[in-house]
Amino acid sequence: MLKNVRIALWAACALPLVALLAVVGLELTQGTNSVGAFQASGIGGPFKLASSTGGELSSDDLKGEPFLVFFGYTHCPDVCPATVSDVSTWLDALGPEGKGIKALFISIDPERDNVASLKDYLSSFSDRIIGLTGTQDEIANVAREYRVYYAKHPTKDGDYTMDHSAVIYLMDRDGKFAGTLTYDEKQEAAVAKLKRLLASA
Amino acid sequence: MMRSHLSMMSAFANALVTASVALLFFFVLSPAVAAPSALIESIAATAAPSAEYSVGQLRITAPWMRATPKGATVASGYMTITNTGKEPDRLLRVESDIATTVEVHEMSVSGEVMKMRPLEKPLEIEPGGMVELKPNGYHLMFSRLRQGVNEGDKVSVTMVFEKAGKVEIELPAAGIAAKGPANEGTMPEHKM
Repeated sequence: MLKNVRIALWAACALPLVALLAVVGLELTQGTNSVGAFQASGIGGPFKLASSTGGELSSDDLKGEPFLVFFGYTHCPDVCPATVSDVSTWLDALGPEGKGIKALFISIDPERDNVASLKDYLSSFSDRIIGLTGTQDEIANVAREYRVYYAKHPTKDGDYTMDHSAVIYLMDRDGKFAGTLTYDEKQEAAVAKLKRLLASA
Repeated sequence: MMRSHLSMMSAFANALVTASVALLFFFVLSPAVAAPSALIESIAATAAPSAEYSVGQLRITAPWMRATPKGATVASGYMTITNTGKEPDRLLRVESDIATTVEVHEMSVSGEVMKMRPLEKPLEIEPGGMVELKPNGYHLMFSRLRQGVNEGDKVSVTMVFEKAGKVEIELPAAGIAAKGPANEGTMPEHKM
């Protein structure tokens, strides 16, 4: 009798734990799946865009060099400048060995971001970050290749803000997806990931 | 069965020890740990006094903003608003000479998609409550900037509250990479 009660009590304790583990497990596998799905469908692809450093930059120009790429717009007050300055800080923290990594900021607001405004904007951060823009079609195309969502959201005063994926992609020397950084990644973790990217052949 | 009881008891005892060590650390050691940073803060505070404003039952502390990148047309501002009164209050309007419009926006992330939205209803500060305007959350959104903001600038902003009324405050501009007000800038990732 006592034994049964004991078993029941243990079960009562264990049940929420099992449920919790199941939820965590599910989230973990879903997380892995989404990364897996990314890889399977192939994040990244060919592009040729107007560069803030002059001329055009294409995916072919980047062959043999690992790079990081993120999407944003210069009319964004809070997260975009913070991300651009974080990326600058991470690149600086890598020191000379970090010179091997290119950093690309692709505008998802080509209507307002031209080469000159991107150049101006980025000059306030690091000369290591290359701004890219293009026609609406070119941007739509590169966003599709990188599975980046973006949408215009009109504001009352006739302006608009952009909703957009705030993820930073790490791409290896072959232009293949190698991982992500998030906009609020801690410096130590970010630098470690960038070092791994550099070390990967 | 006896064994499992024992192990349960020892797990409990372990937890108890961990908890008391944690508590001990918190109460005994943390003032000692906090002291040097408090010192740094007070030194920094003499260099750049951290402004504080009172209007009606509201207190506005740690106002700041980031310097804007070259050519920027927008900027964001941050502060903490505390309501020491017994009634809720609402932020009806914000004005500044540096921008055509100033609104309270909220940044949110769902999935990996980041959104910026003006609040649909005026920002409310509950009695006894506190609202933080900070990076990656609520912020003052300065649109159509008439001028850029440089590090060290003090930007005047007029805030109009429903009950407390009007108050003019200054937002000191920290560096472009700052994560918090200038006097905390020496300590990256510093959390209060």
